[in-house]
Amino acid sequence: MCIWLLFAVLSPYFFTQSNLTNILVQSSSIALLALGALLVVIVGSLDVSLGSTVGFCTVVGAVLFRDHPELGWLVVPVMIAVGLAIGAVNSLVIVTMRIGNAFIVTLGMLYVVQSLSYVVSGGTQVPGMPDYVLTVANNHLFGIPGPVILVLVAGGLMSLFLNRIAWGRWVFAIGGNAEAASKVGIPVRKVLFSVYVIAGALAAITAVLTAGLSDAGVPETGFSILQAIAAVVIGGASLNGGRGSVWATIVGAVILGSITNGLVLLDVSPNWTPFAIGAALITAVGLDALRQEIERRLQLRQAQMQAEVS
Amino acid sequence: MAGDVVLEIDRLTKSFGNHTALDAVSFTVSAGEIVALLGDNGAGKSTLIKCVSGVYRPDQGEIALNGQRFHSESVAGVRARGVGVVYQDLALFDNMSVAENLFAGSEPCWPRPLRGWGLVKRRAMLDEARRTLERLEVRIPNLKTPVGLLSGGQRQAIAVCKGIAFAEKLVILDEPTAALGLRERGNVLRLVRQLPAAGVAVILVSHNLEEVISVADRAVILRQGKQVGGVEATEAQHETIVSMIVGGRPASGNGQQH
Repeated sequence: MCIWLLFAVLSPYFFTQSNLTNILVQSSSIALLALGALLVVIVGSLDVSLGSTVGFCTVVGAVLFRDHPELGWLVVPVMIAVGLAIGAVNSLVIVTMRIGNAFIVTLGMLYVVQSLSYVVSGGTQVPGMPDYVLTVANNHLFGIPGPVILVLVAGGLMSLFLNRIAWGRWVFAIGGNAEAASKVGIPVRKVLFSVYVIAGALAAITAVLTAGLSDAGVPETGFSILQAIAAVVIGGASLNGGRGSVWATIVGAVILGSITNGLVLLDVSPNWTPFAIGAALITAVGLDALRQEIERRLQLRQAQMQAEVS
Repeated sequence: MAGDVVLEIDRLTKSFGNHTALDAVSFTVSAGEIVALLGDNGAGKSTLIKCVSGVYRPDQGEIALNGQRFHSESVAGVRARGVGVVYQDLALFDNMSVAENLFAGSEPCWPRPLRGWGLVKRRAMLDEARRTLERLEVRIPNLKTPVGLLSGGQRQAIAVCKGIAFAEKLVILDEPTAALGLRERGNVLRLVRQLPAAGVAVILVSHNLEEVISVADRAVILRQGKQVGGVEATEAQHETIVSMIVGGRPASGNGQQH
């Protein structure tokens, strides 16, 4: 909020409708990726391989379309399948085989998948995406840009899953107290397995969006996941697990997008953008710690008051 | 007083590596009976509980509920047979509401065949939670409050309710009063005493002998994974029980304090 006000005061253009739309579209891919990251954060873990999964999916889709233009309809299903498969490999290694902790394993996967996308693409952009992918990314529906609709739909489904579906509540339960979850009969390992797979699918959907926006498959380092995790944290999720919100995460992504956009409007050198993002992240974490401390004190006072009453 | 045998444990054995946590333990619990499970730390009480509740798979031996044997049942399967467990660490989810904690792992879902992938019937869950807590006379003002914000006594009460509310045959309580003040302890023991009247069999793990004697009918004593005795839980047996737990000579002249 403060950030928006600051930019609005400093640049009259910031609060125009076209610029706000701009910000939303620019934030959309980080927002989608952040939804995948959020799911893993809620179970108390991290998946840093999601960013390079996005790059790899775009490359696979673009190469498929380049070599077999007649199979354009197959591009999106294949991209989703690749995302699911990478998620399943993560799950297999982390949950089934129990090799090492999730951060380390997915860090390894970040590099493995990054490398694969350079191998498949030959290290360069692969131009061209099917028309329907371009439509989703670049057209409007009822005046709302396609990427924004995609984020809203994905956010709605995720919110439904996490808040209303038992499986989604189990994600929160495991993040809150994994041992208790197994004691009450929640299928902990199946839920964990599904979490990395669903996150992989969200990375693939992000890939469809970014490929549509750039009309190409782009092999990337995959470090976009760091910004997505930043959005999750700014959205108030706890890296200890058990706490996180879909809509707050999307707002977190929009805040990051606003910072980038606002600094450009103010003619600040883009070299300063990461600085501002980093500062915003640390501030958010600091405020969250403060909030928790206040909550804890309130809780103590409440308990004391109850003790006095009884 | 006691009815039919509900739980029959026969030569139950469980090892972790070289360490034998449970060594051929056998006993029964009948409907309407409260059996105390006693022993020092590491005697095998928790392992026994986890075998019965389905968390661990025993190496050898049999567990039978109402005459039906099961060997490798899942936690959900055991619970579906009418067994409830109150764990020493409470097994609560601080980040979730009171109602959700009561139902965690067995939420009422729609449509039912989807099981975990169905919608949670939140209204039904809330109503059922309210009725359950009323029936057990536990007062929690707002069932949507995250459990982490409640006081220690309230959390304990919810853990106990979670364990006993839906258990028709057997309730296992692991140190249900260990961390409680006097008043809260009384509340929990009140809940435990109500169980036999409903025909439920109860296993009570406790370090507090006074409490055991005041609540339980019998005591089964474990030491280093072995069953060292079973006696009536009465004041007269106090010293015998203590000597069985610590494994010293019979209590006579041992100077055990009451």
